[in-house]
Amino acid sequence: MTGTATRTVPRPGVRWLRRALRNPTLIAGAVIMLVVLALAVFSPTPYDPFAQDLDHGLDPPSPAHWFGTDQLGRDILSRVVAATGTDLRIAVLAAVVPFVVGLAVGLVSGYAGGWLDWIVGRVVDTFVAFPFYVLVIVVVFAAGTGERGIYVAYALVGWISYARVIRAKTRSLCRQGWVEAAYGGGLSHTRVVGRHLLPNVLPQAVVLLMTEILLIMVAVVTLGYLGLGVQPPTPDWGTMISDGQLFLTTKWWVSTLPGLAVVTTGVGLSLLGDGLADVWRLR
Amino acid sequence: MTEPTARPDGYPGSPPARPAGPGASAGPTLGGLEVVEASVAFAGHRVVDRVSLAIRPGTILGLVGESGSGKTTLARAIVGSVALAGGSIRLDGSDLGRRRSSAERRAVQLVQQDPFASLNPLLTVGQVLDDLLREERLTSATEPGGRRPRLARQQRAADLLALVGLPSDALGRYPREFSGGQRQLIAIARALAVQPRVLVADEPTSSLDVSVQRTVLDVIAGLGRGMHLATLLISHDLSVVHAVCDEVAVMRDGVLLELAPAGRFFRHPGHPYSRALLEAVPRLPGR
Amino acid sequence: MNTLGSLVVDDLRVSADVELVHGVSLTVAPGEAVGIVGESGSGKSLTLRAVMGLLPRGVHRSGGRVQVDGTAAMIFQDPLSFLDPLARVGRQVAEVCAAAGRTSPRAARVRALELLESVRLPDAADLARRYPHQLSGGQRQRVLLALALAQEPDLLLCDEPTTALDVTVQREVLDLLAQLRAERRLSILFVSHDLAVVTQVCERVVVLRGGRVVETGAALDVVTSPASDYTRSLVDAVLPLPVPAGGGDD
Repeated sequence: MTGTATRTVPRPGVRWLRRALRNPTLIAGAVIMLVVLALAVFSPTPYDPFAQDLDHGLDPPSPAHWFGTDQLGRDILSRVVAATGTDLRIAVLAAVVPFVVGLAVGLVSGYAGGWLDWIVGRVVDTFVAFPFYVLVIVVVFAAGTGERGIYVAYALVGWISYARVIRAKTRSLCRQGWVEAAYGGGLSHTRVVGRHLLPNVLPQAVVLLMTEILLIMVAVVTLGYLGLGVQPPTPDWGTMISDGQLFLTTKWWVSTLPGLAVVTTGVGLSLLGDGLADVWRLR
Repeated sequence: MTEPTARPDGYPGSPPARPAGPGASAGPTLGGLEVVEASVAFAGHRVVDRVSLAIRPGTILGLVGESGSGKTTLARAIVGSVALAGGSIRLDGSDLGRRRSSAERRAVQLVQQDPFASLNPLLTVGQVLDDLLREERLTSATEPGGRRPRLARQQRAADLLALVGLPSDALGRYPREFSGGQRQLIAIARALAVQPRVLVADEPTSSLDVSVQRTVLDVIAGLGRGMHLATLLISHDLSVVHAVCDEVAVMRDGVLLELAPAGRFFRHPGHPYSRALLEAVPRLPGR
Repeated sequence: MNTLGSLVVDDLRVSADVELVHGVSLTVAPGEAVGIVGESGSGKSLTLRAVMGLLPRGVHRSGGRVQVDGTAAMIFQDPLSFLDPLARVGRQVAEVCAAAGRTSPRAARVRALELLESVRLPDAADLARRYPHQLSGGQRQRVLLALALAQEPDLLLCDEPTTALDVTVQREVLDLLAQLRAERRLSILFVSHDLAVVTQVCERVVVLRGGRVVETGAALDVVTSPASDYTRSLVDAVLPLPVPAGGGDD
């Protein structure tokens, strides 16, 4: 029975890459997000996004202004591109703390079990019972509008979804013999969790991260729309959509084109998440 | 390269010369594993009821019983993953509690039934072994700092695989590349990596094809004896126990019904239930 | 001549992405019990499931002929996954009786009780009111057997029916199978990895390996003087177990 495994099997990294390159969902998501990311980082605005030109307010799309201009004569394309940086930055930054906290809480409570797990379970259930947006809006009101409020709100409530998923995954992994074998082999709990469990749950957490960034981005836009998010004149898709609402029937481009940017980014993130889940075989 | 005859330390020919361990009791030390009046209860129900048995170093005790007999629960209590409701488990005379130190956990190793769940899918065989070997603290003066250098660990990992009859190129491979029987051998190598004194094998061959069953049994029995381990082999299959064990214990409904030397047990089972078990096994005609 | 219960499998091929069973041929005569033995991956279970038309998703019959004369019913290694967890076992058996035709719901209930008694379930009336999870492994396998008998089969297909059972229970189920076979003139196709079990149940044995037939013959001949090296290695791998002294040999 020895020496039968002669066929060479490529390393998991190589296998992963091969599967990834054959997955159209992942490729499409990655391409969209690379473009969005490039726009956010390099911000190639054709005009100054803050420059007003009251003589050319609410101009329709034209060769000079591809996306038209808003009520203050600002170039909408430039503002959409500039807003990419704002909104994506906020979404990604706001997603970091919940990711780390939720992953840690989920791993520890799923691994430890017992009363700790019981408490985490009750806390999670309690938070889940509230409508998510209501919670976020309450925290933003309390912590102050703008970026800071959003970060605080997500740090407080965003970890719940990770904790839930990772806790369940960890619990099911703990029933596998290798977890017991690692601890039985003399490794510390910390090492069992860090070296053995973490890599096994990380893919799940990363897929969730993509969805969360998307949800946070939509929430930032929504808060902007409600006037609770990014404050003018900083360009933000939500504020732009809200600004154009008054002329939606006659000057469609003012709201619609920033809206399209939200939808495109959203589709990109969700394709990326789905593609990763496929490649990691999480479904 | 080391010379081919070199044996990794702690292996046949060099039985471990260890102190009796922290907190060695003053009582008569017989050595090996002793289970004294051990009970385990789940939800008030005793699934293991005052079971006592002892396994000397270098011998193999076969524990048989049907489903619900409590044999697996007893195994879990011995390795410390289930708490005792009463009694004690002793290693070389000293008590092994529920909360065990790293060294105490290493001393009692478990080989599990399901070879497909017993290896972390994301680590190579080499990484799994290295992970355990890094934890080892050597007392020998030749290795200051107590930690084995990386190359020595690699050599030791390869030696461990050789002991169970696997080629050293298996070190770079992932669990999914191995068959059930090979995985079980890897699990045995992993258990031996931490230089245990007790080996508990819970139905190690029952999910394997008959053709590899023999190999795995021979490896467990050969290394268990060769390394002077107290080995507990749990099986529902009496022919497995007959093939390798020195003594046989029979459990039913959490109670130990019979404990006898293998030779006597298979010829003259002492308990009617033991006899019923032996007679119920289908046998090949002409053998 | 009565051919009810006979089975002809001719050049059966079963494929998923690749072919898994490469042209297996076998026959079961009316009233005969034939065993299929092999290790995991030999295609023994796939062959049996192809006969019943119960191949797993993604696997299909890609060639050959299967001809069953009469009705076929099947029992499995893991009865729990073939029983409805939310229905009392008596009702489940009665439903199959009703579906098999000819009976009113009332008659079906009576018939169900008869069947549960016929598989030697003690206190069948009480047991019929229980749910599957309240039964032991051996009892569940008997219920599954009753479900199979409710279909009035001429051919009974058995997929490792005693593998998950304790030896003493296995002995009881095998004895029951032999009794039912005699009472009802059942033909049996019996799949197992255990050569000893197969030789107890069957007159003839088919040895499979890698989706191909290695050897076919009378059960006793195959285990005492195997024609192929592979069969010999299977026989040699069976660990011997002496019969205790002073016991009643059978």
